[in-house]
Amino acid sequence: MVLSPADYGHLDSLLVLPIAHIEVTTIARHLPIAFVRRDAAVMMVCVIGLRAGRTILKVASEIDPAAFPLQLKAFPLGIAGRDGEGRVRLVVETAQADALAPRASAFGIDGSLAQPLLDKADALWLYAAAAPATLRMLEALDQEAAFTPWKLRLVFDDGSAPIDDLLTFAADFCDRPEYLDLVRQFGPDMALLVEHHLLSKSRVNWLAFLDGEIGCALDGTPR
Amino acid sequence: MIFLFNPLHYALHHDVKWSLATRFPFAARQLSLPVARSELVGLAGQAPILIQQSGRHYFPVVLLKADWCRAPLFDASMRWIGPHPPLALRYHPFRALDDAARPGASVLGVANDPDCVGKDQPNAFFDELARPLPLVRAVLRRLQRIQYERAQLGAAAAALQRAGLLSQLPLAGSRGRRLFYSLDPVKFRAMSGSGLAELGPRPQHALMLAAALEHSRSRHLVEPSSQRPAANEGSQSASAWQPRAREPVGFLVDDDFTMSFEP
Repeated sequence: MVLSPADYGHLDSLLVLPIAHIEVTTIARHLPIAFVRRDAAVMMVCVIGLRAGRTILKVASEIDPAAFPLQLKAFPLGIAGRDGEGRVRLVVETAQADALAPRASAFGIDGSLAQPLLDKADALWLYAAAAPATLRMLEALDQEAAFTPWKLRLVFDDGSAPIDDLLTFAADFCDRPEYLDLVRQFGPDMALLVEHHLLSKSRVNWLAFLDGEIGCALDGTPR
Repeated sequence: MIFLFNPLHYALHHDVKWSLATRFPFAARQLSLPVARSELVGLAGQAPILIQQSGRHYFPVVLLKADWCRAPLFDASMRWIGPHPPLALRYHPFRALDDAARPGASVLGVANDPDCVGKDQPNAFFDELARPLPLVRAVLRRLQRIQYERAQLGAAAAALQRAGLLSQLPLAGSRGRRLFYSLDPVKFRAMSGSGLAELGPRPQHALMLAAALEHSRSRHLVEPSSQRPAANEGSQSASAWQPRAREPVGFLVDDDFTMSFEP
């Protein structure tokens, strides 16, 4: 169950990973935090790549493992929605079971869950416990029309376009009285969510910088 | 290096020209520089931001002392490595000086710095009618704006201090006194929503400052002792992991961070 970055190959097509509000301070140190609209609801995400097939997981040593998003720490455990009584349904990703098997053992000798798996379950539990509150805050922000498209004005050498469906806060949002109303309602979590998103935006620089390194990693050429 | 700043005057400056500094050797011995509101978010991604106490005043500063920064801020020739130098450096050789004749007003001061003011520099101070050129007037307006924005952050820092949200760091000032503070993340998270929404005259600024203090401390400050913020405790791997020295420099994709010479 001890995973190396190579085991995240299935995430190659994903450029963003959902995160919960309790993660913003750690993630903002490394990765840009943004928002995306999926099925009319706004989700908070961290950006792990600027274009398809080039995610930072290829050069994961650049990131403090402690700053990995909880959902990534939990892999191959995942959440598949909730059942009728609101309980979280836990799933194990087995599509890569063959690749994982040589290093992995989910159970100890006595049949109990192995410690790495328990750690992963903890990370997932944290995410699942925080996610509903994150969702409520994002809904409230969306009702105040806080979000606006975040256009990255980046041009790559081969002409490919960067990720284009990210959202950020409207330029005047923090000066609106509605922001303080939401802080009043949700407390420090709301202030941390908003401010650390804004602080993390310049990490896009770093992602753009790593894009070249990722290209080298893909080609097998030395940096 | 200490410069004499003279108020801009035709008699002193009509036969010399100026250029803005690109290297900042005079900052080599500076401990810290004041921060303006519009540069706070950009600077928090580049250098440690702390609250400095001077008498009864609390104001945000960017820490320059190399021993306390994880990565160097200046290169060997004292150029700023990050995308934008602090505003306190960027307008050298100019500085806003208090106008002795009009309390509360400021006049343009010019440093006696041969690297930036002299016969061989590109920009004149005055036109042929002995009036300051538009660019020179724009610099004064910009410096006045920066002073105003520093005062805004000073009010935000005072609000955080009054609310008991600052914790002192064991960093010694120039006379060995401990004058630097950062956010106490535990107390901040224990605040009520209404308490946060009433932090000072503009609570938005206090919230922005609080987040910038925490963010820049965890990214850029070398903690002088074991007094790490509680939010970092327990993450053993965080201390074992070290970032590479190489970080992107020279371009900034930040649409909030604009600099304008417009009045």
